[in-house]
Amino acid sequence: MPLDTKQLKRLLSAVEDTREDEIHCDECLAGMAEFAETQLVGMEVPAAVQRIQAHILTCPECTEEFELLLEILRSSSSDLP
Amino acid sequence: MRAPRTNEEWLLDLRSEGAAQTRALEDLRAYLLLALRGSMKRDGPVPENLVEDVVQDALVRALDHLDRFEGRSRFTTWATTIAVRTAMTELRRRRWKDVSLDELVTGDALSPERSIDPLESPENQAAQLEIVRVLRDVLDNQLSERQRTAIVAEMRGLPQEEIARRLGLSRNAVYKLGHDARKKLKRGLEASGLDAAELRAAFS
Ligand SMILES: [Zn+2]
Repeated sequence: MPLDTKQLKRLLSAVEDTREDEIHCDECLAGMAEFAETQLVGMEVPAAVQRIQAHILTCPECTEEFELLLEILRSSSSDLP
Repeated sequence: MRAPRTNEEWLLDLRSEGAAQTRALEDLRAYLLLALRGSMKRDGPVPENLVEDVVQDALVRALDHLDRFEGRSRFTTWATTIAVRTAMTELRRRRWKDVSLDELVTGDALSPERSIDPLESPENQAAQLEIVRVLRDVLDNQLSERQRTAIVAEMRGLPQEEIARRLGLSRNAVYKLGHDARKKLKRGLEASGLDAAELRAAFS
């Protein structure tokens, strides 16, 4: 079945965000911890981590994993050892 | 309760053998169990043995890849990224296990009837029709079969690792297929003279 309007919009915005030199998911995972910690304290994103941020913009799975990680880290200050 | 380990102490303990390693593994297991138990519940109940299996897998993976930890975050944050990916991979596998890739990608990827918003103004509908024409041309004539499969399945919501499983590829390889497809689609739109502002306006 052809893509519906919503899926077509998603395709267009993914195409618009596309860069020539994107990193893949494993490289993103390797830098995700550092990116998450800078986000939590509101630090400016270091240049080396900006590629992680760009990947997360275009990758729904890494976005989902990053959000879960942030959620865990936010609760970890109170609940975790 | 003992003071939390520094990154160096985690590495030292996990790389040691005997009691120090056992204790560090138990502490890390307890940390990850607590972390995942709390957060994985947000999408509905998760069987306890699933969390335990995921944490066990993540511990093995973390131990195997200790040399990849570069010390640029807390060690526990790094270990959590591994546990999160392991957990999500397993959840996605369960959620999508009955979905066939063929059914998602067979037939036309786009069609004026289904892809264009009938409630839009005639001008926007005309612009959308032109966009659909350009994208269809790239999808049907310029992408390899695998690139087309990856990008269409992705837009239909199938996670990349589930596409990968069905094609016998890694998640990285599927990401690359999708990336190559997006680059070709982007060039196709640019070549047709449609700019980003026009694209956005057509679907405002
Ligand atoms: Zn990714």
